[in-house]
Amino acid sequence: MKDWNALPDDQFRVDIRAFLEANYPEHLRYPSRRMRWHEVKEWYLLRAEQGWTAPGWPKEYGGVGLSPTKQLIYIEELERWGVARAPDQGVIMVGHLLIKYGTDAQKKEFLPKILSWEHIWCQGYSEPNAGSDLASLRTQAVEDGDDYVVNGQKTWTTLAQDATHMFLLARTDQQAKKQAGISFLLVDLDTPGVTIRPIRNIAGHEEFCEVFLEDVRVPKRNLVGAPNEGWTMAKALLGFERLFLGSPKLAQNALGRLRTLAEARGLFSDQGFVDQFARLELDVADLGEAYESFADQVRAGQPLGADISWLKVWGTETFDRIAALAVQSAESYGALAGPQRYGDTDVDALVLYFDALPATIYGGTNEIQRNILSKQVLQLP
Amino acid sequence: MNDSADELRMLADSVVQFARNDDTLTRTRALHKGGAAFSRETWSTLADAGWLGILVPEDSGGLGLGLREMAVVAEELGRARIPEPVVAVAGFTASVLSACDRKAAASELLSELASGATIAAVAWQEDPTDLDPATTHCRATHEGNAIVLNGSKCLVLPAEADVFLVSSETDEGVALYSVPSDAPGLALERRQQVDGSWVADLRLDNVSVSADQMLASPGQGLPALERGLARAALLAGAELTGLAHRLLGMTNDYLATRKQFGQPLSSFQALRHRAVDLYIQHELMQASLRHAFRTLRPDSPLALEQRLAARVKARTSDAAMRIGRESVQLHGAIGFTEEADVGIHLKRIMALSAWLGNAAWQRRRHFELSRNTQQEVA
Repeated sequence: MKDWNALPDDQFRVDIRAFLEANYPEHLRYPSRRMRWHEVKEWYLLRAEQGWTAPGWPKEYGGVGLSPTKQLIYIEELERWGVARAPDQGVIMVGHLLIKYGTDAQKKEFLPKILSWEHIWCQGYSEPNAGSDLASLRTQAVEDGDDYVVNGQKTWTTLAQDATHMFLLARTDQQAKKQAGISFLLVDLDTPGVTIRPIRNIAGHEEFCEVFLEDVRVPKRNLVGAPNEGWTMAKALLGFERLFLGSPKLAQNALGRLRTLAEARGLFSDQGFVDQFARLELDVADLGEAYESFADQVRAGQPLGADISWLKVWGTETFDRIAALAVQSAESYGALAGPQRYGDTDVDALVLYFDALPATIYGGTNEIQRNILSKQVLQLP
Repeated sequence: MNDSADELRMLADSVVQFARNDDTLTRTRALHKGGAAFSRETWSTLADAGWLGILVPEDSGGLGLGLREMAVVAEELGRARIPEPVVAVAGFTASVLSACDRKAAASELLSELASGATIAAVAWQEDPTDLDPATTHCRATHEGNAIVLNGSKCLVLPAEADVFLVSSETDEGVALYSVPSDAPGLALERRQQVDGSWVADLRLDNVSVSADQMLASPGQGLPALERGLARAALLAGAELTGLAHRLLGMTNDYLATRKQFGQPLSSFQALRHRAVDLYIQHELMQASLRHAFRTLRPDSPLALEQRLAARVKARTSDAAMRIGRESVQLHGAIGFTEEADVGIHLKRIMALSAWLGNAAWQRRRHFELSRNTQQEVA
C-alpha cells in the first residue's frame, strides 16, 4: 500500500483535492442537512474498499496511519469540497477507544467491521436529565451472571436510527460519587429491550433520536476498560476532535453565502450593511488564524490545552452572527422555506440559520465551554 | 524555539525589567499633575536602551531591526502603560523617514531620533474627519532659493516634538519637509488628549525652509506617509494588546479577591462568563497580530501592509475598548475613581484607539482594501 506519509504535505493536499474533485458525487456536496446512511453509503463503501475509512487509525489496525498534519489536511480538503459526513462515530470514537483500552478480542471483533461499515455506531452519552451535567447520568448497568442488565434512556443520539451498535456510558456503581461509578459498554442495538425513536428537530429533519433501554442484556466481554473507569476514558477521547468543533469552515462558508446574497441584492452599496459585513469578515479572519495556531500545536504533536474551548465559542458564535445577518438581509425572503433565487445563484438563508442554532449547543454548550475556560484557563476561584 | 524567538523574548524581557524599575504609574500620575505628558529624562533612558532606534538603520546609529521587534517592545511598553510616545516617534516618524527618498536629510534626522536628542512628529493630517494623507492643502512654493510653506495641520502627536515632518502639496505632488518647532511663522496650539498626552494644531504662515530640509521630494511624500501610517497602525495595535492584557490581569485579580455576599466575585457565573469573553477578545487581538507578522516580509508590498494594518488596528482598537469598558464595570464603583489603575489604562486605550483611525474606520478600510484586491485577482 502506498505510503502517504512519505509524500510532501503540499503534494498530499494536491492529490487528495484532485481525487475528491474527480470522484466525489456532485449531488452530495454541501448537503443542507446531515445525510442519512443510505444517502452516503455508496461513497463510503467505495472509500472502504480503497482502505480509506479510518485515515487516523494506525496501519496495523487497518487505518491509513496518517500523521497529524496529514490528517488535518485531509479533513480540511473534505470540508473544502463539502463532503457529507458519514455516521462516523465508529471511526472517530469507538476505534480510538478500543485501540487504546480494548481487549484483543474486542479489537478483533469490532475494528474490522467498523472499517467495512458493517457496524454503524452511535454515541450513548446524553440523557433527558444529563446534558451539560453529563456525569449525573442515570442509565444503570447491573451485573447478572455473564451479563450487565442495562436500564435507562439516552437522548440526542445522532443517527441512532441508522446505527447497529451504541457505545454508552452507564452507572455501574450506585454508591460512588458521580464521575466515579460510570462504565463504558458496547451494545448491539438488535438486543431485545432496545427501542429507538427519532426526534424531529427544529428544521424538520430527523437527525437525532431517543433510545430506550429496558432490561437490555450486554455481555460482560463488551465492557471497555475497567469497571467504573468510563468517565476517564470518555474525557481522553475528546482530544483531537475538539479542534474540529472550532473549525472556521462553517463560518467561512456561511460568510461566502452571505456575500453572494448581498451581491445579488446590491447590499454592498448600503453602508449599514457594509459595516456589519466588514466586522464579520474580520471575525472570521481572526478565527482562521486562531484555528491555525491550535492546528500548529497538533501538527507539532503537542496535546491541546483547555484553551481550545475559546475556539469553539468564537467559531460557533461567529457562525451564528453571520446566519442571523443572512436572514435579516433576506428581508421578506427570510421567512420562505427552501433556497431562493438571488441573481443567478440560490441561497438558503434558513439553512444557515438552522445549522447555526445547534452549533452553540452541541459538543458542550458554549456556557459549559465558558465554565471550563474560567476554571482551567483563567483559574478563577 | 529558534534564535529569532529567543531574541524577541530577550527584547521583551529587557522592557519588563525597565518597567519594573520605573514605577511607571506613579511617575505618570505625577507628570500629569504638573501638566506634562511624559518625561524627557525617561526618553533618554529609552534611547539608551536602543528601543528608539529599533527601526533606524545601523548606519544611522540605530539597531536596524524590523517591525516585529518594534512590535514586541510596543506590546511590553503598553503592558507597562508607559506614557512616552514611543510608537508615535520611534514607530510612525521613524517609518516615514525610512521611506523617504532624500536619504541624507532623512538619515541625519533618524540618527538624532535614535539617540533621543530630537523628538520628531509627523504633521500630515489637516482635517480631523479625513484620514487620507493625499488630502493636503498645505502648499509649498518656491521663492528664490527658499521654499515657503503655508497651511495648517492638526492632531500632531506629540505636541512636544522638536521637529515636525510637514507634508505639503507642490505642483509635482506631495513632498515632506522638516520644520523645527521654533521656525519663524510656525504657530502651535496644544490640545490635551484623554490619556494626558498633548497633540498640536499647527499653523504655517510663510514658513521658510531650505532645500536640505526636504525629506521626501515632490511625489515621494505620499508613499512615505502611506508606509508610515500602515506601520504605525500595526505598532499601535501591539501597544493596545499589551494594555488590554494588563487590564485583564488586574480585572481577574480583582474578581478573584474582592468578596461580596461572603464569596469572591469570581464565584458568580455571570461574572466568570464575562471574564471569559474578555479573555477571548484578547486572544483575538493576539491572533490578528500573529497573522500580520506571520504574513509580512521586509519587502512586502505596501498594499499588503495596509490591509494587515487595517485588520490589526480594527481588531485591537475594538477589543481593547471593550476590555477597558468592561474592566471598569467589573471593578464596580472603585473602577470609576481616579486612583484606581483601571482608568489610567482605559484612557490610554481610548487615545490609541482613536489615533490614525478607530475600529469602525479601520473595518471599512479593510473591507475596501480587501475588495480591491479581490477585484484585481478576478
